[in-house]
Amino acid sequence: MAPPLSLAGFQEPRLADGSWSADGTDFAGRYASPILSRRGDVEAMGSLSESLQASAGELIGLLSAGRTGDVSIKLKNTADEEGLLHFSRLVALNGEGLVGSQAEITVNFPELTSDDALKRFYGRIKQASVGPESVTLRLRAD
Amino acid sequence: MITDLSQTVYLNRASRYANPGRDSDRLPWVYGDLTQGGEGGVWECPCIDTENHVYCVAGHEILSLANGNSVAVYGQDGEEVDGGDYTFDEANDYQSQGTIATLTFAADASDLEPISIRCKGKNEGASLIDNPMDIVEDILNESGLNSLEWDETSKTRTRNYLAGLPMTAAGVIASDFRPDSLVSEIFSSLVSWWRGGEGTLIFQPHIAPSSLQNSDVVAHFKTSDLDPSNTSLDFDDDAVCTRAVVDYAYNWAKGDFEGFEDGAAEAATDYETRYRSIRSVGFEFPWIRTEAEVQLIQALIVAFYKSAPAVLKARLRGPRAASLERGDIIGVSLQWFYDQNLDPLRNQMFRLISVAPDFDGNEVLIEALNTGVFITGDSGNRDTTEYI
Repeated sequence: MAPPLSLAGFQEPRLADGSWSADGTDFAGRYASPILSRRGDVEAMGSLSESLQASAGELIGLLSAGRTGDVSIKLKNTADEEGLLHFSRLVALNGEGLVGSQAEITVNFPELTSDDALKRFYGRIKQASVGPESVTLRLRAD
Repeated sequence: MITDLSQTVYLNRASRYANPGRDSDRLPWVYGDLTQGGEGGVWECPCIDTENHVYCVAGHEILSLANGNSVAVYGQDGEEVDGGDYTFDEANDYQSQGTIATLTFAADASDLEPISIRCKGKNEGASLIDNPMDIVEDILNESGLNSLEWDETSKTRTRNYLAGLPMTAAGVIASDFRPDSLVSEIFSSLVSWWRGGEGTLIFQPHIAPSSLQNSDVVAHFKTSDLDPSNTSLDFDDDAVCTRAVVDYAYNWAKGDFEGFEDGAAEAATDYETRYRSIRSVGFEFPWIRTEAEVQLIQALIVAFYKSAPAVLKARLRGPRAASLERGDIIGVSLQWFYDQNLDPLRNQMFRLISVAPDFDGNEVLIEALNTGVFITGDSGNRDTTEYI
């Protein structure tokens, strides 16, 4: 079950149903986001690996962003509103697929807005392993 | 006996003749239309007789002028040599050492060395051998492959596929070579090949889904044959290519490529917009001579790899699975995944890229590449029957 939008700092979409006036009191689209699908499918968050060492234990020489940060996330592959497995749908053959898409990990607290959220990781989906029950995504920082 | 294609094949040396320029010079093998692509001489002709000013064009017969060959000879300064200064012989049993192609100069030509040439290569009767499959067949036969090592069906199909594209190849073997490496180079990413379980060489157009037929499927697996906890479709970003950057038209005399295509004309720009980056992969096709053929290959590569190809990883049980070999095509139904119409995936063709049988456990761990095509029914649409 997906958590309420407010927990992620977003507002429920304001529909153009006549209940809002264009009088400057409210801002169209503020704190909203073009979300096509929203799900609470995370089964396990791996640890985010970031280091200034090109390889583990290497302290001789210069430190630099020698290794790109990456993290693996395990998600449930559960049915959506139409009864189709959510991630299987995203990787339907000849579709656009998951791999190569942008991904970010945002840390937020209830009642804070999305502007206040901490964007802790920003990158792309490097690998996806989609099974009938669960999905493992490996994300790599840009 | 099976021929070991990883063993080096040694070319004949100039030392077999009485007065060579250098004993160690190799007599080159020449294939295809090398009058196309680049400039100047494409390969060097070793001197095999300093007294009579004879140079070796190829260590075998090549296409005659009467059958459409054209010859241009170049000196070390890159200037073309006057055709009246030499005599070209496409089939010369020189000093009874076997038929080769030669240039014989009327006078000492050592000032022109290294002498290089641009012409067409080996023939079969009145025809030039330029289909990549035919070139590979000739080279492997010359390397000692026996007739029982060919899978004639896959060879014929590959030849017809390449001819239909159309695709030709042209190149020079100027040094000792390993046949397995050379074959892959000549096929320019278009054809995969491997040895089947019975030792025959099997060839298969790699990025051409249209070349597969229902009859290629060696075994069917339905959803209940697979354990959901051990089944996945895997995708890897490293396998994505939205534009293929190609060096082509290699010049064996200069030791470098003379053609370059940046891939922009055949790029999948819609996917680049989605990825917000250009996913370029570099290729070297020394045996491709023309821009049109390069662009044809680029289009095929990008069409197949613009999105990450799906690799099925699964554990199969039973005696049918034990008979599977790498390269086999299997038809798989997977109700947990969908086709482009979001219907359950049925009878999708996958090519086995790795097979690990566990004979004690009576199961086989497989990795299989989605070919992009499916078993078709009478109407030409996807066959939705789950076969046993």
